[in-house]
Amino acid sequence: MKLIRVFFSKRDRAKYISHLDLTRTMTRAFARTQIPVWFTEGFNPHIYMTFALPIPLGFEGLRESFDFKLLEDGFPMGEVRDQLNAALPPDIRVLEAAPALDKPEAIAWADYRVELYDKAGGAALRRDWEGLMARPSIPVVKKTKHREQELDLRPLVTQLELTEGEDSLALALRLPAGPAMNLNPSLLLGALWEARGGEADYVRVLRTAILREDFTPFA
Amino acid sequence: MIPAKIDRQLLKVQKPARYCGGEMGSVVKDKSQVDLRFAFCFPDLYEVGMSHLGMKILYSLINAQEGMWCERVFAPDTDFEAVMRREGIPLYGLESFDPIGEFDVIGFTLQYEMCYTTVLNMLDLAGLPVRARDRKGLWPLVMGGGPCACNPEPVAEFFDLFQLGEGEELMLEVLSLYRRAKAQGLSKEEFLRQAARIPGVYVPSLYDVSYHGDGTVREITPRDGAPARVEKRIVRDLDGMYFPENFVVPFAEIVHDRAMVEVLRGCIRGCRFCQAGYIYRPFREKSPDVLDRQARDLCGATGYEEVSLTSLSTSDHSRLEELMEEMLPWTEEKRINIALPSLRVDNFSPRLLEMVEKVRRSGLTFAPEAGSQRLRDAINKNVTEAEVMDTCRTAFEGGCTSMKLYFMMGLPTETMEDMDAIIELAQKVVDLYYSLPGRKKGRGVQVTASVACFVPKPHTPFQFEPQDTLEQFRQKQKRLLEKVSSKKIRINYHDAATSRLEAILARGDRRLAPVVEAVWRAGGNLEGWDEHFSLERWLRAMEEAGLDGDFYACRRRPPDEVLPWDHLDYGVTKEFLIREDKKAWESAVTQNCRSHCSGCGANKLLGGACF
Repeated sequence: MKLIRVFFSKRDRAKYISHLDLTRTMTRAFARTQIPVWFTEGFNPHIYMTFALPIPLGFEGLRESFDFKLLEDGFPMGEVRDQLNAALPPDIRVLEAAPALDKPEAIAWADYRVELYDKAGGAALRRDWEGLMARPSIPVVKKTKHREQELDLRPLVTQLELTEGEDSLALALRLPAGPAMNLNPSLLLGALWEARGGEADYVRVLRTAILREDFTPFA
Repeated sequence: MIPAKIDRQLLKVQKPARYCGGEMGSVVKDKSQVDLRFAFCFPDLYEVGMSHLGMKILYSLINAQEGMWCERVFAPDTDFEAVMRREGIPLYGLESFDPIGEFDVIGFTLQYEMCYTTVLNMLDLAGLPVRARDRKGLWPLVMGGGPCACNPEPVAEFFDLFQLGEGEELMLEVLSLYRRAKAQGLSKEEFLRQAARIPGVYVPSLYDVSYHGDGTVREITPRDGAPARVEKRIVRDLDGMYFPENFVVPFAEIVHDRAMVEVLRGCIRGCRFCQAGYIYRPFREKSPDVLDRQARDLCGATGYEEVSLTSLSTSDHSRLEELMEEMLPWTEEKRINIALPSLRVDNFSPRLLEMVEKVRRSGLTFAPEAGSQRLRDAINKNVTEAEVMDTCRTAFEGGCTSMKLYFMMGLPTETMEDMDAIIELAQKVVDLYYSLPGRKKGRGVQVTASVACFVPKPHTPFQFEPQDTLEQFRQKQKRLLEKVSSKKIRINYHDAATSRLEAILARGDRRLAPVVEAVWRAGGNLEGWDEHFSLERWLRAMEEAGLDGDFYACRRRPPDEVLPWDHLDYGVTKEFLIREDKKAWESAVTQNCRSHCSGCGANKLLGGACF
């Protein structure tokens, strides 16, 4: 039995599918294929499926992943990809399936493309953003289910690229990710809204890559 | 692709997956190849509407026709509605995102009376006048169907036509005629006159209703060649009837998220309070082979992990055992659960019981409906106390420690002693648990008696009966609580206000149209949800219209009164209903249809005997 990692994109309307709904969607997609997939044993058998870095509702992803277990070692990876694609909606596309190399703990970074749109214009958005980034520290409170944690965002944010449009600002950001320390861009956007005194009219967040410590792709 | 205007709003609302379409199984057609566009509207939230089998059947049926495109439309929740109104987004079809105001036909399924204001709100969100007479053109034509079409009079003025009965054949006949009318450039009036000649089509504007001074109906007069009585449609042969091979599989969680096959239609039982038991007659069933194939195809196409064998009373299928034998091997292999709602356990063979227990994992519920044998006889719920006890014993021996029993209060002939009998029955179930030798030590039992307020419905024997007053309901609820002495018994009941309104609307007439409209204009919408319902709003509107709720809800109708739905023929004769109501007062039972035909009249729809 092999642990297989499926890499997929989740674009456009698929951003409205929550993590729980995505798991169910994948389960039903498997049921529409002939892929020999392993079920957990016990009282309530279900397809074993884990997501190394679940993507929040509202975000698009260029190369997300989940793992499942294949019962037949020789089952071709190309078949996994093609059969799943035939069983999935067009906004979720399987790019590749391969035996899992890394443990989920290997994830250290994620790259995002954040597009902000506002009638105030790109220049104003840029001013607000750069003003925020110029601060020596950006203290926020990160809330999880169990606790609240004080955090300084500033040292965690790496800006890779910035493009100013007429009514927009596009940012390429690298943020810490993974089980140990995960920074959701929403937290950063929250700080930006606070700094500029309101949300932008429209925001698009695309996770472009999930990376190891050495910035090579998670595999 | 989702239009930017909508896309930019969806992350601001709860559960956006309800508004973006794109699910597996949804049908997207090329607009240039389509000459008839149909908006199938379910006047409730996505998660409710998407659970409904009838909608799935008609969606697939219409989309199976060349040149026709059916899309799904649900009521937006209040947060998204506010966004739609603010941003100028008209109500759209989930497949194309096109405004449904531009469609040819808008069809509403009317599953419960509480959806009426939502219907008006959806028409308004589509940018359409709510009154049929204010919508001048042939399109969009607004039609209705579903159980409430059996007395649609309170909402008749908002619809162009209703389809009575089963839609698998009728829908296509209506749409074919519409297509011809559109090609010929007919007016809406001319189309409606022609449509009224299709059996099963009710065009309310072709009927004049006059009233006596006391508010009762004097006469219902057809015009322009419309039939004096509209007979509902049925499909005689269920095996040959259209059934979808695929469902739209939602991303978001919905109420019943599973494959469904309909094992039978109608009901042999004749419980006198139950509208479904009368309006869906005559009884017909599908063959095990057909059901097995349909279930297998559907599970394969959808990937669902559960398939439900639905009907009003699945254990009344004469060959259920055979069906289960066919389905068990492949469902076990594919790890698919079989759900069996609506079971009566009184007629089970040991082998069937064994198979049912194998698949049945969910908690057990049972509906004796009344506490005393006398009252159960009066409502013709042919269940004995011994059968209730047998069911509970089976459940307890299977490891169950909680039991939910469903009852009604306010039933015709009911007294306070019948309330006490509910508690006594619940106590007997508790005692039964402790009398069983094999039970786990140290584990208590919880018996929940869920007691609903009875609503008299049209086309049932109790259509002549008054509903209890709100005060009577309150006294009965109080009595229940006083009578309970054990912590093992929990009483659930619902506020009677909703039931009161249901009783007004279910047996209402056309004079209620301005009331429905006024309540909607005052903010009434999604009233099936407690948080959106206000009885006061309705009572205020009724007062302003000079109408009295008690006239509709709490009045006994004499047998010779013209009822607002007397021109709508559901097969069962009024004489039979009068006879059954009389028998209720004699606590006399009527046998089920399979053991003895009581001559309800529905067999004329079949053209012969039912069995």
